[in-house]
Amino acid sequence: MNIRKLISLWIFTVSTVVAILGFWALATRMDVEYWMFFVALTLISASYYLSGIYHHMTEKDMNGVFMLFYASIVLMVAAFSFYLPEILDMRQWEINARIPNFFFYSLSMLFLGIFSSYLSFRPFYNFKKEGAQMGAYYMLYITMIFTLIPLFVILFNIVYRGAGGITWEFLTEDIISMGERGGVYPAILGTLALILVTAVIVLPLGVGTAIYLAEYARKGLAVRVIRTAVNILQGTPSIVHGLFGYAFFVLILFDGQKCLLAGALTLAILTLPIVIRSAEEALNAVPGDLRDASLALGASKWQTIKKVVLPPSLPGILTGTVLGLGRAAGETAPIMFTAVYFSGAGTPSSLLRPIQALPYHLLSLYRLIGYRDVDLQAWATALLLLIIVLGVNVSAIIIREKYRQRF
Amino acid sequence: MISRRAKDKMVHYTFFGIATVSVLIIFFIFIFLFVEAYPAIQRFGSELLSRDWNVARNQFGLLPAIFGSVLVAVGALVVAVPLGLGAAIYLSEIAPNRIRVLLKPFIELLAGIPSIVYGFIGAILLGRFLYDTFGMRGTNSFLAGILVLGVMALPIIVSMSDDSLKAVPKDLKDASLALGATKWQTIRKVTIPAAISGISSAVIMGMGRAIGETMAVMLIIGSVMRIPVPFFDIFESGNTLTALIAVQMGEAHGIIINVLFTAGIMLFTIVAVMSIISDILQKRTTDKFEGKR
Repeated sequence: MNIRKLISLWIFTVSTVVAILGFWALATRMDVEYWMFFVALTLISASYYLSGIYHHMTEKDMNGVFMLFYASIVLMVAAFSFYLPEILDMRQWEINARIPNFFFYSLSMLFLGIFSSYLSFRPFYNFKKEGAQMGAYYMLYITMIFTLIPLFVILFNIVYRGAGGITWEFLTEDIISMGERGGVYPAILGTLALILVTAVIVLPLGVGTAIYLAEYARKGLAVRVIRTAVNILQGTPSIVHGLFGYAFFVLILFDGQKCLLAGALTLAILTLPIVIRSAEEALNAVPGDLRDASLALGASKWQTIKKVVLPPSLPGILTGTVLGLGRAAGETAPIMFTAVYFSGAGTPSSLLRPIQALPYHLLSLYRLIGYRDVDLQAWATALLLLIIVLGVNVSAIIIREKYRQRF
Repeated sequence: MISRRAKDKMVHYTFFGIATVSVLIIFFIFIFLFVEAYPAIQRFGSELLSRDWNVARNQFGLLPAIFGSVLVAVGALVVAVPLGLGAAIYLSEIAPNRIRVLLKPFIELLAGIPSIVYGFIGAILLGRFLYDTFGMRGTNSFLAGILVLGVMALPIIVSMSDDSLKAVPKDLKDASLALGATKWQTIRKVTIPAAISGISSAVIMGMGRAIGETMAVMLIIGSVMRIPVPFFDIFESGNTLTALIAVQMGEAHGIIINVLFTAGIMLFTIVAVMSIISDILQKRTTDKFEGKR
C-alpha cells in the first residue's frame, strides 16, 4: 500500500460518508446548515487537492492538474452556496415551488459525494484503464442499490403502518360505517372469486394459443398477425381493458349490470398474453427429439402433444398462469367499471352479481381519508393486498423451482 | 368413425381457432372503443384536440391530458433509464451468479406490487414529502407522478435490457477481451452497442407502461385539466389520459362518456404503435445474432 493508494482510499471514504449523510438528510428532510455543507465539501475538496499535489510531484502527466481542477470546482460550489437564499422562491418565475436551501445542500452532498467517490478510483489505479473499469463498476453498484431502495421503502412502510390493522375482525367482517369499522371479508372472497373465474377462462385460451404457436404454426402471415396481436394486448393499458369491458361485456352482454363474470372476462383478456408467453416458452423448452421419437412410434401429432409435450411443460404453464393471476388480483382499473362496488355487494354468490374486491376497496378508502377515520384500515388493506399478490407470485416461483425439468 | 388424419386436421384447426382469439380481441377492442367514441368525434371533431376543458360549457379539449401523459412518461424515463440500465448491466455482466439469483426476485417483486398500492403510498408519503419540502400549493404534482412512474417502469426496463444484454453471443465479448480490452471497455464498446436495439425496445416498453399506468397516476398527480405555465413546471398538478378516464367515468353520463372513449382510443393507439416498434426492434436483435450461430 503506497501513499497514492492511501490518499485515494481516504478520498473514497470521505466522499462516501458525505454521500450517505446527504442521502440521510434528504430522506429525513433534515435542516442541513450551511457550515455542515461547507465542511463536508471542503473536506472532499482538500482531499482532492492533496491527491492532485502528490500526483503532480511524483508523475509528469497532466492528471494531477485535472484533480486540482476538480477540487477547485467543489470548493467553488461550497463557497458560492453561501449566497443561496434561505428559501429560493421559484414563484418569481411562475414555478409553483419554494425550494429551501437545505434541500439544495443535501442533494449536492449526495451527488457530489457519489461523483467524488467515483472519481477516486482513477488515482487509486494511477489513471490506468483498471481505474476507469472499477469506477464504472462502482457506479453500477450504486444504480443497483438505488433501484432496490424504493422496494424496501414501500415494503417497510406498508408492513410498519398496516400490520396493526390486521385483526380477526378485519379479516372476517363486512365493512361497517364506510370502512371505519368492520373488515374486508367480502372483498377478500371477491378478489379470490375473481381470479378463480379468470383462471378458468384464460387457461384454455392461453394454452391453446400457445400450443398452436409452438407446435403447429409455420412461419407466415397468420402467425405474424397473431404474435403482433399478443404483443399489442400485452402493452394495452389496463384502463383501456376496463373501457372495453364496460362497452362490450357490461353494456352489451349483461345489460348494463356490473358483475363478477364481466370483471373476470376483462381480467382474462389482461392476463391472456402473459399466459400465452409463458406457456409457449414452456412448450418450446421440450426438446424436438422427444416429439420425433413419439411420431416415429406411430403416434399422431395430437397424441404426441397430449402425451409427450404437455406433461413436462405443465409446471411452466402453471407458473406463468399463476403469475398472470397475481397481476390480475392487484388490478383496479379493469374491474372498477365492470365488476365492483365499494360496499353492499356482499360475498360473491353468483357469476352475474357484482362483488367487492380488495384493490377497489383500497381506492375507496383512500378517497375517504380526511373525511373519515379510515387510515389504519387503508394501510391494512394495502398490506393484505400485497400479501395476497406477493403470495401468489412466490407460490409461482416455488412451483417453477420445484417441478422444473431439465432436458 | 373418423380417420386419424381427419381428426388431426380437426385438432389443428381448433387450435388455430383458439389462437385467432387474440386477434379478434384486438379487433373488438378497437371497434367497441370506436363505436362508443363516435358520437363525440362526430360532434366535436378537432375541438377534442384543443386545450380547453370545461364540462359546464361543453368544451372537451383533451390536449392537457395528452400533454400530461407525455410529460409524465418522458419524466419517468429520465428517472428510470439511467438506473434501470445500470442495474441491468450490473446484473447481466458483473454480478456473480449467486448475487444475480438473489437480486432477480427483488426486481420481480418490484414489478409485482399492484399499481393501486404504488398510488396509495405515493400519494400519502411521497406527495406529503414533496409538499413539505417544496411548499407547493397542494400535495398533487407531476413531480411525484414522475418519481413513482419512474420506479414502476424500472423492473420492465431492467428485465428486458438484462435479457437483450445476455443475448449478445459470448464470441463477440471474447474477441474483444482477447484483443486486450478490459471488461468494462468490452461492455461499453461491444456488448451495449450489440444489444442496443433490445435496450431501446426495453425503453419503449417502459415508456408504454408509464403512459398506460392508471391508478398510481390518478391518485398522485391530481385531476386538473390544465397545461402548466410554463409547461415544464412539474410542481403543478395536472392530468393524464388514463387518470382522466378513471376519474370521470365514475360519475359521467351523456356525451362525456363518448369523449372519454375517444381518450381511450388515443391511449390504445399510442401504446399499440409503441409495442409494434418495440417488437420490431427486438426482432432485429434476435435476427442479428441468430444468423451468427
